[in-house]
Amino acid sequence: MNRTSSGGGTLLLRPPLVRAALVLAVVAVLEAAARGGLVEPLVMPPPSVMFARLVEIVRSGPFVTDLVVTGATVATAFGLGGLVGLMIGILFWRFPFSGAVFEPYLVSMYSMPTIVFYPILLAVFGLGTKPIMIIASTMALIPVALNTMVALRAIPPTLPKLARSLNCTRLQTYRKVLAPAAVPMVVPGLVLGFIYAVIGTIAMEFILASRGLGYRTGFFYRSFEIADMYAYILVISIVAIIVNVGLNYFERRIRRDMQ
Amino acid sequence: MSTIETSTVTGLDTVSYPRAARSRRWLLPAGRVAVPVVALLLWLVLAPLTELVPAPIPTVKEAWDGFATGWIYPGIQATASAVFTGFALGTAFAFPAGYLLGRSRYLNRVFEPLITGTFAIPRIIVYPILLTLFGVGFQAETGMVAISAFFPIVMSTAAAVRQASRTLLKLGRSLNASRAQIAMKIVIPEVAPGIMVGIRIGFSISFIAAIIAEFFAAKEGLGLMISRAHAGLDLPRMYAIVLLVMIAAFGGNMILWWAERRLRRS
Amino acid sequence: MQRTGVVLDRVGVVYTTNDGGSLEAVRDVSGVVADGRFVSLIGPSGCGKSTLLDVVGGLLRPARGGVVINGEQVSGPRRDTAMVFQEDSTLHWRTVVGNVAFGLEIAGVGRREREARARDVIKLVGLAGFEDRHPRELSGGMKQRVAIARALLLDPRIMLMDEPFGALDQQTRMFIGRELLRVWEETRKSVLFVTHDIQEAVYLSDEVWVMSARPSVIKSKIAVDLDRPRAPGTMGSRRFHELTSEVWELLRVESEKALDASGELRTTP
Ligand SMILES: Nc1ncnc2c1ncn2[C@@H]1O[C@H](COP(=O)(O)OP(=O)(O)OP(=O)(O)O)[C@@H](O)[C@H]1O
Ligand SMILES: [Mg+2]
Repeated sequence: MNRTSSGGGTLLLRPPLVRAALVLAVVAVLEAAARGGLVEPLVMPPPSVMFARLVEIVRSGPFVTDLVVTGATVATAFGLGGLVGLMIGILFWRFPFSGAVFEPYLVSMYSMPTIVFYPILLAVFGLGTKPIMIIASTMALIPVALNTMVALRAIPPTLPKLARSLNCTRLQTYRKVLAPAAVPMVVPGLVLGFIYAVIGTIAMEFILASRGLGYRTGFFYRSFEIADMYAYILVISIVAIIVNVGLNYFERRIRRDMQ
Repeated sequence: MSTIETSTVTGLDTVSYPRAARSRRWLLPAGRVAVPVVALLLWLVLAPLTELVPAPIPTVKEAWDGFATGWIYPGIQATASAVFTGFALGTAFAFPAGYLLGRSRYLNRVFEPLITGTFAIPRIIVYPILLTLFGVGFQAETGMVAISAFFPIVMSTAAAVRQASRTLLKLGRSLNASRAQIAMKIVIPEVAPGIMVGIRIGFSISFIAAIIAEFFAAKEGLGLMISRAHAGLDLPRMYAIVLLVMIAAFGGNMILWWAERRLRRS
Repeated sequence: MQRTGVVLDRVGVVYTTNDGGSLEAVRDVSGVVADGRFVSLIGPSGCGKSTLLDVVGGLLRPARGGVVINGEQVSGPRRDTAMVFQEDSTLHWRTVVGNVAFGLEIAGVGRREREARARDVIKLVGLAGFEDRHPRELSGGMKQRVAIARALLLDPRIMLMDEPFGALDQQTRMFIGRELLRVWEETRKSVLFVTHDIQEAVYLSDEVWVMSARPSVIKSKIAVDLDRPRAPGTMGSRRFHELTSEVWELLRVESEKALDASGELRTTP
């Protein structure tokens, strides 16, 4: 039976505490396993060693270069993918038939190994970040396009009617009525698009590039520098978590402001 | 990916077709078929302009040969077994975990920030860890696929289960239904379409994860074959495999999408 | 203490809200639904009628007081009570038969038997011919009848019904109300019935409990001394009008309080 008035719950069982304890416990177990010889250092060094390497790496020059390269690639991939995604979303909404025709293809693009177009892109754009950027942007555009289309379709039909009754110009209708109504649902798509740009960029760097955070991880694996490899994996994870938290914060702010 | 994804795909069913399309039902399927046909024509026309892209006919012929002479079977076998095993493994963990997170507010509050917080981490970067653990081969690749499938399925399942109607849960409790009965007879059938969304996206991601993993390090598989063909400048072969991979990905997606829409309709 | 029937003993319910605060829904409700009696609960929106039904149905543990059914303290859902919820509670993936038989299925009754019995009850609630339809093919009122049939099929001694006719228009409401009375007069279950409709409450019940605005207490229990079986003519009688205006007067005051508390009457010029 459900209780109606809560007993407050003991302090120790508060979710954030339990969560922190779980994470620490996992780290402690790994540390003990590595130090106790249960796991070979060639397979996994103790977390304390990884963290020590991490600190050194973060201070080093190559790391900063990698970070800048990856960051710039992500930013341009998102810019391009976001823009094209928005345009596709609007197009599919304006012309519902085209939306219905292309939807299955757009949906399956999640599993399309777009990476296979790399050789062509390589030939067209040459070595460098451009081919990676383009592949990452195709990943970013999918959620942006789908969410934009859904957001626009979800606008209640009374709003365009209202705009017409007030003799709004086409531009006014878009700027003052349709766009604000759709923004709360478009923003999550953009957030997802950004995350996909990050994932796409790092994954492509991992297999194809000669610079960037993703590349470096694979590089250390290949050169058997396992501690550095783990340190880089940690760095990427931390950067990704920070980006994600920032985006979530941004999304919540926007949604609140729009209400 | 959880709620957004769900709402995205919910939208797929609310397409309001223009009146003309409704009265002429063949238009939509025709339009959908036209897309790959036009793409093929474009390929046919544009291929001669560059040496980097083989013409469609040799490509298709190479694909045909792949089946006729059998050179492609080991690749298909390796990739397919890694995808299906990994996907099954990932789902086996993700589905119950997602269900629990969706049903228990406490568990959700403990684990949800961990799952959404790590959502932006590109899963592929843990592949080297799997490689050091298991060595290059089936196990590492399967592990990669399982990890990739796990997250979208957990998130979508939890989001779907959280949507379960409070009234129906009340009904279950008032009938003294057991936890298993509530799961099997109320919640899962009720939110099945939402669960299918996660399964579909999990499948998509499994597929691409396997190919990317094989690009990086593998003993067998279609991804490896593509990168070998690329290195050996065997363009028709490379594009033949790419074509097959795309058709397989599209086919798998469409089957799951169709299942999802059927569930939604009932 | 009374051995049979439903005894509510100083029930008080406090909800924990999402932001960690608390909300007192029900302050102090006592009363007895004697065996075989039809009691209606009526009160302003949000006063805690559904909450009270959840308590009697064993779905919600009250913060204070308790409920005793046939001499046993309620500590969870019981076999001898069945509930009809305010919101649609049909399972959209099952047919009407599958929905009506659902309670028996959970109770472990075999397929053949439960479906055969379900078909009988479906006729009783006037859904014959719709046995193999899905809820999406039914109107709101038909879905509520499916829920009523599901509860009836469990053959409980006590029915807890939360605005089962809420989704219906006035005419259908009267019609189904009469059908419900017919079934009830045959089976003589105890009924605790929530409604917003004063005429319906008086027409159906032996007793009408009028609740105050939240946090709720029972303001008044009005015994309905109209003859049974009730006929359509009952509603034209003088006594019926006296009773309905009595309930109406009590409710008017409470509804204003409820709205006032939620700030809706404080219009600024
Ligand atoms: N699960 C809950 N958590 C917190 N507060 C709740 C919950 N359920 C109901 N309440 C609050 O308790 C009060 C009584 O709710 P209840 O649903 O019992 O009212 P009601 O009398 O059935 O109203 P109505 O006639 O509109 O159905 C309301 O103020 C409501 O906001
Ligand atoms: Mg209610």
